[in-house]
Amino acid sequence: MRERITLEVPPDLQFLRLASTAGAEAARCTAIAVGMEKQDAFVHAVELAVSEVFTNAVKHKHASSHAWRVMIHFAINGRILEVVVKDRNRPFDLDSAPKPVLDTLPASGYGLFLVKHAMDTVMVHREADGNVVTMAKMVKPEGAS
Amino acid sequence: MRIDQQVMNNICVLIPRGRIDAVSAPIFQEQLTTGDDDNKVVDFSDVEFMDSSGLGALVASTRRLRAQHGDIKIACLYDKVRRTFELTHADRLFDIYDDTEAAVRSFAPEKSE
Amino acid sequence: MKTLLIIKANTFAWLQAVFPDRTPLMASVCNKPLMEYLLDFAIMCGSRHIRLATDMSPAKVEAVFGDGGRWGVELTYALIRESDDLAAVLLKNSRYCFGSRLLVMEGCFFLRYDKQRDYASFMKTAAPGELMSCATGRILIHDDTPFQPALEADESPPPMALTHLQSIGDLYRQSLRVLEHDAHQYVLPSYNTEGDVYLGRNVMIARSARIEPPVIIGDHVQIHKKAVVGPNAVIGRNVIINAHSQVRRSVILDKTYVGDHLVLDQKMVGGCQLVDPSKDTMVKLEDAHLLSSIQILQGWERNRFQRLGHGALAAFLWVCLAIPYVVLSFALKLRGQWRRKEETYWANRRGRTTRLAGVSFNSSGLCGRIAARLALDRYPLLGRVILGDLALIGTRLLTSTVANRAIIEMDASYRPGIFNYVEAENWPVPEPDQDIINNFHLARQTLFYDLVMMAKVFLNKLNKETALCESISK
Repeated sequence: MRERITLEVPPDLQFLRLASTAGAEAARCTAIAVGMEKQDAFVHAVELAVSEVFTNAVKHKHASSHAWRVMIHFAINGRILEVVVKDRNRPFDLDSAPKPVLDTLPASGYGLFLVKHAMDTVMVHREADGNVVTMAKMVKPEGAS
Repeated sequence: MRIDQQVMNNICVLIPRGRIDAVSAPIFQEQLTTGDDDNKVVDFSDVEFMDSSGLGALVASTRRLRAQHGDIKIACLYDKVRRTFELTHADRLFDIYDDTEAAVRSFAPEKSE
Repeated sequence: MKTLLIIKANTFAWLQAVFPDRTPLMASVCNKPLMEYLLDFAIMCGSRHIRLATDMSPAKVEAVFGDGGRWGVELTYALIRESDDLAAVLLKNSRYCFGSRLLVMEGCFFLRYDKQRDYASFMKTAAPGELMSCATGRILIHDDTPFQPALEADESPPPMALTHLQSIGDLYRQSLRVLEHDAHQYVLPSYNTEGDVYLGRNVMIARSARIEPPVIIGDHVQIHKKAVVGPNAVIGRNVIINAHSQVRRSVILDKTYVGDHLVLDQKMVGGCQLVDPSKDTMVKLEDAHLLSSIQILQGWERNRFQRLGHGALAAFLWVCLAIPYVVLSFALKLRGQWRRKEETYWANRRGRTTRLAGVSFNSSGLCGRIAARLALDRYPLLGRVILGDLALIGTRLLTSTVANRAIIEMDASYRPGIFNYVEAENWPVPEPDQDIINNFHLARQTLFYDLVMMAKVFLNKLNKETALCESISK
């Protein structure tokens, strides 16, 4: 199956659940389309990643003269779900977010770490005054290591 | 998100219901750190999703309670939320029980029959 | 009856010290995860509910075993801490354990049993407590229910033996022991079994390679020309054994590349780590052409994605080199140094051919030298890469002769590119070694890898004068 789904969501936390559950449903569609219905880990990973990236986009919202929306784009290509999230914020570097040292019980810093570990690939680049986060994850059949 | 509270064997048990994310994490953290009890159990059986905001709130609260010689124990952590713990290795920091009563009992083992 | 498996990271410290990149929970004997042996035994004992309690992330186990549906059991996962003793683990799993007779398998060991015997009845009536133990683990019965004494004590307990696993040597010896003597007791992973040869899926064995049983070979393995595998060889998944190598009485772990002309006898190998189990010594090989790990391609990087990537890179080159091509081809044609030629080549391993219209030129003179350094003889072929017919960089393009067909059939990999990986090497490679070098790189390739290789190719060309005219015709 090859499908494209795009959401334009106001950068407000009241739409966080909408954004992340849309990610979960896109993941579920991807899994079902390739005949793998029991893919809870895959669906959860996508839901988590979208929640983290959208939360980041809202929390670091850069005041702009225009009202802007977070663009969330899902592309289902067979077994691969690609998620692209575009914002209008200041640049951020994916690699500059350090791995949280859990033994010290930090209160924050897990978000990007979670995204990098939940998804198979994560990339960030700049486009038109904003960040574009591109993530992808492949549905793996049970039994594949 | 709604957070219910119970007291079992003098231990405060919090039962959040719904999603713990950036919207509800501040309320979650407030509930975890208010009150006189330094020992708490959080029952995750009715939590359908938790992201880093929720985890951060939990970890921050635990740090605060442990500084006061208390602790937070986790109960009924099912697959979805368990995976969030695993990804961040937070499972190394918490005692996780599959039963709320067992988590409560673990606070005072010498008192159990 | 339920089963509780308790597996902690510290019992696998010996494995992590040597192979730190490998998941301890998926450590294998004869290509079958230790955990699966325990699962099989639990099912033989009558368990339909099995829980894995571990202080390591069970994600990789969960990816393979899921919820246990494939075994007809309910498999669940629990997170414990390293410091938890048995009482603490039971408390943390009290809902699971409550009201059930529990078979507890704790630690890191290999369990031998006789699958013809009845373990289920024995487990139903055995007295609670430790059944057996070894240096690194134990099996015990925990029972919350009122104990039912055995009604008939006439049968001796069925045979069970625990073997400790506390070194790479132990793992190596168990693997070979199972392969040589006990294979019939276990269901070893294979897609195709003939006698003592267990083969996985997608195993490519060159015609001139030899397999001497007993051997077990995992999925996605390549065995190149004149290699000898066995007797007594355990080859994991995603392994390449290059030409003329011999692997006997050895264990090759998953995702390993074994270079050409190597002899591995009584060794355990994983990635670039070579272990001598008899002396418990370990060597890390720095030359990746001898031994290295293979980065596994995600399935989606092959084919379409690869073709698109190569096509995009080719398009970029096509644009960058367009003006030099036009100018220099005109200049070289004027001097009579420019020749067009057409040749038919083998396009893939399955026998498809393709006709390519290339050019060759004399690289003497300033124009010739510049054209050579910019690899302009390949320029007309960039269009075929953009269309997705050919790779930009790969193994050597072989002309469609019968001799070359035999070479392709004898070898296990052929993915021709208009450039080949040998051109990215920093030193001249003698012709007999070129295929080996190309195979090595092909085994490791990803789109990014190819991009880096192409950059190296052009750096080489810009730094040195090389004769390019014959580059396609060989």
